[in-house]
Amino acid sequence: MTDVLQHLIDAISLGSLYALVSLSVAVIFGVARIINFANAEMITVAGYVMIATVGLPWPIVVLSAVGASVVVAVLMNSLVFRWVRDAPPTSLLIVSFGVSYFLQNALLMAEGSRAKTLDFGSSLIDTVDIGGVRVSILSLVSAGATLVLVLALTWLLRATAPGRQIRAASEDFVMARLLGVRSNRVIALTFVISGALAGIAGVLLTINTATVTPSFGVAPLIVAFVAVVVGGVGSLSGAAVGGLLFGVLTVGLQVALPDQLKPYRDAFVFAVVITVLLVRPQGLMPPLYAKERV
Amino acid sequence: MLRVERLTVRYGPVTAVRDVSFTCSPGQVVTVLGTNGAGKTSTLTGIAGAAAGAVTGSVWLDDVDVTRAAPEARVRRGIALVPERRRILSSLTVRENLQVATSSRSDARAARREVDEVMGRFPVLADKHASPAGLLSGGQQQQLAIARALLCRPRILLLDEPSLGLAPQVIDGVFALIAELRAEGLGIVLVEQNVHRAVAVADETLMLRHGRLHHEDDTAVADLDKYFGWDTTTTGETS
Repeated sequence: MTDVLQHLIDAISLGSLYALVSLSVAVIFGVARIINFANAEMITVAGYVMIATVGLPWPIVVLSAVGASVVVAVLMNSLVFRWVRDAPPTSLLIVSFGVSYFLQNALLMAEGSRAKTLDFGSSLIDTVDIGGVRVSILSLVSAGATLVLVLALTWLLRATAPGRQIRAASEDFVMARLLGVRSNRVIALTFVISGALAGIAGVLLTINTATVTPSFGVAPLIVAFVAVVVGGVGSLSGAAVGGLLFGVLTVGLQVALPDQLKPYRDAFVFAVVITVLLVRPQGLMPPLYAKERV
Repeated sequence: MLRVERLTVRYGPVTAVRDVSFTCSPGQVVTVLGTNGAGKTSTLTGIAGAAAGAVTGSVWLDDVDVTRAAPEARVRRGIALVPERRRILSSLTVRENLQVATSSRSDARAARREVDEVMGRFPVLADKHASPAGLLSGGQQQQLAIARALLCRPRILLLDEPSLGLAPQVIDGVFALIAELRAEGLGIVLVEQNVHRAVAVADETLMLRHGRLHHEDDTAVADLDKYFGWDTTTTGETS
């Protein structure tokens, strides 16, 4: 029983990280319709900034890491994406590839290709005993941070004027503009939110793995893309749920598969993903307005 | 005053609107008639800055050239569009749809008051203010679309087929509202397929055929009647 609980907490913790990255992808896609590969570098930058600032008090380390992700996100929008906004979706995809490779190579030049290690928050790797269950503190922090962020994001989107404008622009960008929503401002805001979410995911991932390379953010980003599609493209709650499920599925199969099949875990994970998409091509929770309107 | 000069809208090789010029003054209803594909909707989206195609020619509002302005900038200048099929933001509540239309205001309290005022004018929206706008009936959605446009504080209101898909008594309400708004001094450009109602409310009627403008003449209206299979002599005014 305690084993099951332990695995469950691991699953939720990994799922939380994926949910954060998925949300950071989905919030930009929702409004600007950009599938942004360069979200990976928002994550990576947070890792490098943590390594550069380690030794300072931890709130400063975390804040500067997240702040750096936001700055990178805002810059990639105002220097690149803003100028190609009306391009067809395939061009936007290629542009985002370009931004991603550019940043990866810039990091390669600045930091080298060898993995940098982080000696930070070692106490977070410790475990605590809760009712007989050994839980790593980092798991709890990951899940807790995700919960707080999802609640904050929900509040922002539901209860504030800028959030309302983001939801309006996600549903019908042109109509939102016809009602006076400023396109540049609302898209810039989605990049800020995306950068913050990616930055926090980057901080948690970096503490988890303790090493950062220039391609650090790519793997979680690919997972996030899959999670967004499984959750339902265009839906933020779908992205969060998709990310969470992907984490739960990964840990679940890691535990449940017999030892000789464990190396092929990801094949099983994606078999489930393919099955889900065969049954529900629109994803688990597609946005309501995606339905055909009469 | 709205002044449209040689407006041309192209979608790739197809020219939807060609050299359309007209004006619309405060308190005036300009009705644009035409069959499907004549370029009516493209004319309105071209004026509002929301046409998907390439737009040439110019659009002036009170002697300010807004041809290059973004749609959100034109809204701030006073051009509001009630688009074809209404385009209600169905995942937002009725109140949120109205609130989005106050995005250009800096004073949040004043904006809230204006939303309440508009809901006073459209009581059904006040009743349903918390429900998702996608659940409204067609007539209610049309009221919401117009209320939303009015919250943009327009001087020129562009209405694209406001009677489409509505029950006859609801259509009566829409046209009564158009007359009311005109009396308040709003300039209105009305696109309609409901020819006789639209002509009855119009100060000026324009005919679009294959993207070109023809000023009103009886043969044009009769042509349109033939197109819709209506007989001018029997489908007269019912109200």
